[in-house]
Amino acid sequence: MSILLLGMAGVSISLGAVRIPLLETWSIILNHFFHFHFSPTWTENNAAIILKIRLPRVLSAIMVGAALSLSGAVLQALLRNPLADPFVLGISSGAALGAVLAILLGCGAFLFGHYAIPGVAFLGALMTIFLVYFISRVAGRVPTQTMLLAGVIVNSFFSAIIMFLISATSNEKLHGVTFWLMGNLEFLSFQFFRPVFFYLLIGSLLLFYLAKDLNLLSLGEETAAELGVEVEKLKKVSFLLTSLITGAVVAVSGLIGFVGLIIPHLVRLLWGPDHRFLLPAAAILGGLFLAAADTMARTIMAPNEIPVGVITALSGAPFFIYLLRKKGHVVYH
Amino acid sequence: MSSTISLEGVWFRYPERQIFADLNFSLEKGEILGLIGPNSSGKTTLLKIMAGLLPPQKGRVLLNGQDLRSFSRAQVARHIAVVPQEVDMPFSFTVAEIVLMGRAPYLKRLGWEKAHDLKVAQEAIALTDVAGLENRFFWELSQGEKQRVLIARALAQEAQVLLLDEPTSHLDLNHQIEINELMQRLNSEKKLTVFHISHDLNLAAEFSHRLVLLHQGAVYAKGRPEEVLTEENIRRVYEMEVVIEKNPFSGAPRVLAIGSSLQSIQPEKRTIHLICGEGSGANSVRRLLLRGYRVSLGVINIGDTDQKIGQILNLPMALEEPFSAISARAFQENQRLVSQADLVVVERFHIGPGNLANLQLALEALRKKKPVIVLENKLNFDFTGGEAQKYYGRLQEEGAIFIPDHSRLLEEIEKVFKREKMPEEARA
Repeated sequence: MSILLLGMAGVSISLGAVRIPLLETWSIILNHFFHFHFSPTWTENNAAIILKIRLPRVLSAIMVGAALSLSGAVLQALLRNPLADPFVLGISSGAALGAVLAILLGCGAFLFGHYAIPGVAFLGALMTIFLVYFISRVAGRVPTQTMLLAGVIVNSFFSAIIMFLISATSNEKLHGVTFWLMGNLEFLSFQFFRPVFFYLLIGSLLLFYLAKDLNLLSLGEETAAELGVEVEKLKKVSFLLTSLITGAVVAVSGLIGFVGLIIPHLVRLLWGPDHRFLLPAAAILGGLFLAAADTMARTIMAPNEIPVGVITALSGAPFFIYLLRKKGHVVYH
Repeated sequence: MSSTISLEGVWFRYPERQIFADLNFSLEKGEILGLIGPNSSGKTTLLKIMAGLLPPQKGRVLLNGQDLRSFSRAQVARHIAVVPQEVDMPFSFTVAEIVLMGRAPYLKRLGWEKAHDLKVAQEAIALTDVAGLENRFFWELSQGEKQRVLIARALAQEAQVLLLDEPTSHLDLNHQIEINELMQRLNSEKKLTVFHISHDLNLAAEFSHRLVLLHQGAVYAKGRPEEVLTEENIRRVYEMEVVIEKNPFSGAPRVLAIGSSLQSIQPEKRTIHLICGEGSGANSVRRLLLRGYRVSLGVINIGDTDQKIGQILNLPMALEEPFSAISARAFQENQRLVSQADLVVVERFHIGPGNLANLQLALEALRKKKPVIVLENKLNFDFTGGEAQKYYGRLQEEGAIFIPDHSRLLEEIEKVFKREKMPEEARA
């Protein structure tokens, strides 16, 4: 699967408004990063497109896709709810509120400069997480049902504020807001690449480490405790980790729906629900899926771009429906 | 015997309700202990406290003499396995995956199950008789199968103590027995200490070494089943009237429910004598006892079903040797019982020269103004060459009450006693 991911990445990088042959693409990358010495048969221009634009873009897509579907998988186990996704606990609306504020009011610009949108969005996501967490905390415990409800409530409250802000302002900035809300990977350049990658790497390694306990937790909190899991601790840690990685990627990519909900289900349908396999598989497949979707978003109407969230839903939904019809009766009951 | 889990002065309350105040309780090594008690007496809460899932506010829970709080959850899971009442699973794990999860307390963080874990799981699967289901999805299984899989998972934990929360509550009778027998087998073969909550008093009595009766958050009674299941205890705790008898096959006490409140039963001082045999009395015995009458039987041959029932229920009986004709001694004994009774019922049974004396006695009682109720004999009953028929004829002529079947028995008896009462009241 990793090989598939790598191959997919190569294809994605070579595709775009300017078509660059696959072999050339790989030669450029290998020369640049791994000190290979293929004789350069390409123009400087093409090298710049590959290294400065395409590569970061595709890697970003992979990261965002991996992060979203990984958090989706963890949250579905954590909340024991197949409808859970990275946005269910209000993280998205928090980030969105931050982004909308940054775009419309220009606030945060003095703090973050041109990082304003992602910076404020990440802050918004983090604040929402803590808000939801403290709303649902009762006597030191965080009941998942309460957490789910608190997430939904905070979500609609923030969404209302966003709607209000949008309807109150009527200027050309509106397009930027809508585009952000639909999700796209334009913002992610190399500046953000490192911090996002860092969050994702740490977060997902720690989550893989919890996979065995998440298996038990998906049987119910009491069963998990009976089988030796420190449930409250596990819930806190995995909630925090998923929130961090979701917050980090949402801040730079906007709201890309569908990946976090569907990819974990896809993996379960294909390979079963064991989280020790599910989590890494969901991360890889999520990255793969979003990279492919983003490539389509860039190329279908080139040089115009379609928001990638549109592609994920348009292409993912029919495929998922097909799988659901074919295997769903065995897995869902 | 030493205790595996014990509670010392445990206080526990939910935010809204106090459950236990200074509860002391212990589970002895190697025993099967059944916990019984009415709804909301704290049974499941007690189980959760024992498993360390609910920490008490005051007092201690000891596991092999050591405070449960000094163990990590994984350590507890290696000592105590819990079989929950029901599991609701949003994801499709297979039976094999579920059973293997019992190995979780032994696995390293990133570890997968090793050959040894697979072997333990396989043994658990074999013991609980779920072999062949390994690749089925858990949710596909029947309730009984699910319960067995959960027990297999608990066995895979290799814990010495098994705590089961109403393991048979959703099962059919045959599966109830299966699960209980499995519990017994694990106890005797694998030397497991078994603690189970039961809502079924009779099953609990049948399959437990010891019972604990919980009432309003306190241990109301504990001990061997026959010490705990007494009419008095049940009346106090469950607020209902019962008769305790013995299961004729196992000797375990058996609870027969009569009614829900003390007032509904009029204590009847009257005695009914049944002339019966061949098990013909059983039906009436039950009805009469449940209504509160005293009952005597005769003449019955030893070994007859009626005699066994009478013995279990400790009823006065006039007895004769097996397959022997009624002797003068037995006849006199029966006469004595009839004279002490307020009413005589002649059941429906076959009559030969050996037991013709029973009908003779019924006629005698009738002539002494004792009310006699006769069940119309629809059997091909007469093996006396017409003698028995004649007795039936005479009984009818001289005023015995004939009824077609048992459904009208109690009604007729009450009518008779009412008639008897009226003249008395008129005189007064």
